[in-house]
Amino acid sequence: MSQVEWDDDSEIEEKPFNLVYMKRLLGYLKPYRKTLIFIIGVVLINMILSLAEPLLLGYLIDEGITKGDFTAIHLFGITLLGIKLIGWACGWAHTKYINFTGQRILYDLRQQLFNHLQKLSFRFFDGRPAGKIMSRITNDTNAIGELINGGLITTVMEVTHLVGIVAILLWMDWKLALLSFIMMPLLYLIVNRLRPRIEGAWTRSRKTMSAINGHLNETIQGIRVVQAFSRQHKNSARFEGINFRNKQAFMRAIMLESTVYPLVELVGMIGTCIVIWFGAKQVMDGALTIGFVMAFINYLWRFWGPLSALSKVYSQVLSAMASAERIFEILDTDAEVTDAADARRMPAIRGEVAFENVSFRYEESKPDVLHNVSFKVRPGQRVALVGPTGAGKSTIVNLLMRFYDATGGKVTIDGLDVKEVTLESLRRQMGIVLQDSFIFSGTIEQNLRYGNDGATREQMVQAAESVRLDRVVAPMSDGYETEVEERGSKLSVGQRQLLAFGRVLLSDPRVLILDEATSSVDTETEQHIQEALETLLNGRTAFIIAHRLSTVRDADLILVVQDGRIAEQGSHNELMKHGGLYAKLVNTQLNMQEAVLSQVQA
Amino acid sequence: MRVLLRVLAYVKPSAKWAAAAIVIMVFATIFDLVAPWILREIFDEGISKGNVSVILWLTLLLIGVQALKSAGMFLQGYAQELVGQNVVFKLREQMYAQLQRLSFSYFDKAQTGQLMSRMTGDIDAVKNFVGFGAMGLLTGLLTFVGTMIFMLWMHWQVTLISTVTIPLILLVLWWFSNKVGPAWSSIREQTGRLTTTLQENIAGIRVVKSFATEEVEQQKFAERNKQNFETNMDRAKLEAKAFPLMGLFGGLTFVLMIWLGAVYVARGEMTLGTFMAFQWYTWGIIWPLNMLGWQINIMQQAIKAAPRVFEVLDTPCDIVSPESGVTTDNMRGQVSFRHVSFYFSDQDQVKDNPILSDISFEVKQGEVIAVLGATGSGKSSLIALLSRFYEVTDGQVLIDGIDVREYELDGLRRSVGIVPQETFLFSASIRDNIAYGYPDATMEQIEHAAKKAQIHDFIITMPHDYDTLIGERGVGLSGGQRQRVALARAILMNPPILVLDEATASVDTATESAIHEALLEVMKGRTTFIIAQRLSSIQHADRILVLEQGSLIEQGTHKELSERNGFFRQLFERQKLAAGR
Repeated sequence: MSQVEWDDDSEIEEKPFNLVYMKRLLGYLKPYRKTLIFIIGVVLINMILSLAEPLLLGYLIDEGITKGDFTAIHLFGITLLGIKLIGWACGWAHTKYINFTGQRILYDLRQQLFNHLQKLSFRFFDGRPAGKIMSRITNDTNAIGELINGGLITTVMEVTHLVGIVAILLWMDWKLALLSFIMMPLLYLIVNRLRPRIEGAWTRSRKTMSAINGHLNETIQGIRVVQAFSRQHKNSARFEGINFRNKQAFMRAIMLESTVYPLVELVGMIGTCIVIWFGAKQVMDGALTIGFVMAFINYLWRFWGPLSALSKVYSQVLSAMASAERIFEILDTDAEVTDAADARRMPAIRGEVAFENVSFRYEESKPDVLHNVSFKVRPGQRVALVGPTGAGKSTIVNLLMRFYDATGGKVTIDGLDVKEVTLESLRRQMGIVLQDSFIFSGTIEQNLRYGNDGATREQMVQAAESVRLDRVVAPMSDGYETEVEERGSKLSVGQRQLLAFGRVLLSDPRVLILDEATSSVDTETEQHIQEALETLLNGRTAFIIAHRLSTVRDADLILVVQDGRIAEQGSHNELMKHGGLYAKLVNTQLNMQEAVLSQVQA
Repeated sequence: MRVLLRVLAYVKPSAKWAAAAIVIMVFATIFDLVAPWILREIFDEGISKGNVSVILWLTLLLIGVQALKSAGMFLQGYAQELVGQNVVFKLREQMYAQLQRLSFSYFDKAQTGQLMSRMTGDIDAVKNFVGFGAMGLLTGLLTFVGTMIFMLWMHWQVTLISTVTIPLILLVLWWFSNKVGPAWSSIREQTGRLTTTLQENIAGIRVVKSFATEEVEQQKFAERNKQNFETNMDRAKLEAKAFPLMGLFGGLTFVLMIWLGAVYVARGEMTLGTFMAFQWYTWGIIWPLNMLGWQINIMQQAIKAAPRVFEVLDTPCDIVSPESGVTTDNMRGQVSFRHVSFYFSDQDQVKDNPILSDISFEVKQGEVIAVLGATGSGKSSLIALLSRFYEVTDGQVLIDGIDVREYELDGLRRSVGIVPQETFLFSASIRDNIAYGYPDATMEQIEHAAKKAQIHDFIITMPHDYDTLIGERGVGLSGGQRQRVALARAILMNPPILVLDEATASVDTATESAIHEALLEVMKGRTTFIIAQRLSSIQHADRILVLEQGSLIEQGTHKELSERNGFFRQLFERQKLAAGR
């Protein structure tokens, strides 16, 4: 089976440390720089105090205990107590404020991503599975939030710690210090050889995880098809494969990573033993005091903690880098359809629509789906678009809504190029009922008011009545307050179309576009809607894509679309007289009806 | 607690690994306890007495034992993660299987975002505890108890006095554990909601853009985002209160120990080596207590996340295959509905109107039945009962005289080929999408089905013909094209019963007519249900059923129905009028 493997995409590839991204990430810290400086200050104070402890201890042993000086001992005790109290205050301040900053940045980043997503054009969403976009806004931003929350402070703290310890050790006895570091190069070599493997293993683990998410999301979305075709066993087997690969990848990463910390500990112990050995000799020779050796060993223990903490931060940084790349990829995608710099508001639309030699292709490399389409519509006209599936009917209305920009030619409304007006002012005055009627979870009323929150109850009920939604709602005990779900079965497909239709009517559009808006609605309801539209649409332009003859024939202008071209245009009678494609379509339908007729009379 | 026990049951199959990890952990802890003692001996027996060979042997011993411990730690790290992974693996597998088993009525109410967040974030939270968290908790406990014993043995006075703050730490821990639980609970809930808002926005982005309501959506998301921020801050504030306080009490133990220890050593009531060892031991007390805060965090997360997972696992599947169900191999396709009534499970049977009420009809094998009726009259529900996607509330649905509830479920559904109103195509090649119900189909069979669905000619114009990938929502194909792929998918299954639920609503009349011509051959010998709005779609029907508000009001041939002045007649007149004018 050549099913798409969700982990095939190379975009999850772990990237090497990227300075540009790092700088950009740091940019998000900027608004909080005062808080951050404060936190860093607090952390530094805490660190210096904790670094002083072993030194104080050495002093305690040599001056206090050995000499039996109780004043020195109590002085030391009080100092240490003070240090702990200050440490407490510092700890409280830094935990609180770093969490605040981290969560705040997470909030900012998420919101920025979401807001940007709202600006992006259809092309971005075409073909990109929703699961993938979602995981960028939730998981990837989390990775960055965690880096700031944990990583940033750890880095500041541990680097100071490390530098402080090395400096103190060298200052205390540089020969002993160097001796205790004798195993370091070996450790460095081993870790350096392991690191790329560990990173590779984590990358694989993350990839397989995203495969799990992708597969999962699709299964949930398509569960009705899965069950209808009894694919459960096949799917479970496939999922087990992905799941198993994830476990394997994770365990491999863990196995490699588990070698590092025990090694570090072992090397640390060897260093300590060296110090004890040489230190002990020097103490016996009288060259060093016992307190000194104790303080030295104490510092040495503290040396390894920061190292392993920093190595964890490093892997955090790597995964945050990969996340940053995915986030920035979205942020850097410019919306293709945007307001021009000098865009003005679309004045109240009268409804004169013209396409002038419009051509369009979905992607640079793909062939044109529209070729030189030209037509003119007068205000208040009702235009029907007919033609075979895939001929380009939906594309034409998509260009009119400016969901995409025409590749050639121009689309004008009331003589204004749609590219010259602001998107919001344009789309607000247009209403489109799409083929695929999407319902938000919420009440029926909330869905109806989606495009016009301020409508009165009367207006809402009227809009519902025009599409016969009142009949749908009537038997429901909660009426318009009934909760509906995105894909729930409370409403049938046809009823959802009605709701989507009512939603558009309530938004009171100047130009109405119906893209097979009533394909699943029964003929009687459809006719009722048409009659209601007569009054509702009085003086407004309407575009209707439909297959049913009854819907098409009363249109003022019929555009017959074939292979991305307008093959014929005119009224029903003109086109019938012309005897072209339209006449053929009509005759096919008539013939089919004839057949039914003959059955009836048989 | 019950939740934890249930999680523990998942550990059972990997009990050996868990036991190995624990045994090694115990040895490692003992070593950590012995090492300071060795250090003490070095100072007291070696340095103070100038005995070089003792120093040498003891340092070598220290290194040797550490080497053993390091090896053990590696094994332990591996074993504990393996246990965690095994649990996750099992949980995910069960969740996935359960999701596929749950009936339509569950998915009618479930939100994709919530389910996703349970499958990912919540399961992960459980894993963190089972692998790393639980082991850390055990290590900490053991280290703490062991250290106390060693220290009491070495010098009980100093030990007892300096550990007076420990009850305070436990108090803080208890407070924290109680407070942070609810905080994690609402964080998990908020995350699910955030995911849902997001998922809906992306799925409905076309609607958002056409209404230019981007700003409204941003507001909606900002609200969820803000709630998420605030619940997280509530948790952070708890941490900010508890952790440094625990650090302080731990630090006090350290201060007291050294202060007192110094006094005792100066008075000659304690050796310098013991003092040195105590320094090391205090970490054995402070460290577990400090880590306990984090571990409680991890544990509380797991305790709050696990029920969200179990909730899905525990949802009873109301529609399951009966034990020793009847096989469907020789199904002929004779369908009868006997006094069938149907309510959705969340409907009130007293207040609400039934979706279907008292429906009875018989269909012979190979008959073509058209189902007509107004929007919402129950046509699709009728079909859903046939495939047993929902259970009838009353009455019986029979195929070949056997109640559908007695058939083996998979076989039953494979025997009813449905082309649904709303087409869902998977992210896969066109070939795989068509072969979805019959993955072993040969290329010839696939092409044959595609030709019958009038989509073959289109497919071969695509860049990689049958291997062309199509997206999650089948983007790149028009509505009509998607419907035809779905039609091919059903035809390929070769089912004895075929259902076309407005399968050609988005197809133009000419193509529709071609499809119906081609279907004539496919329908031969099969029982076929056609739900349609256009009269032209039902010209080949042998018989017509008309539904109105869940009741079967008319049935008969075209001719019989048109002679009666009912729904069909009116529909017929209306469409004839539209065509003939």
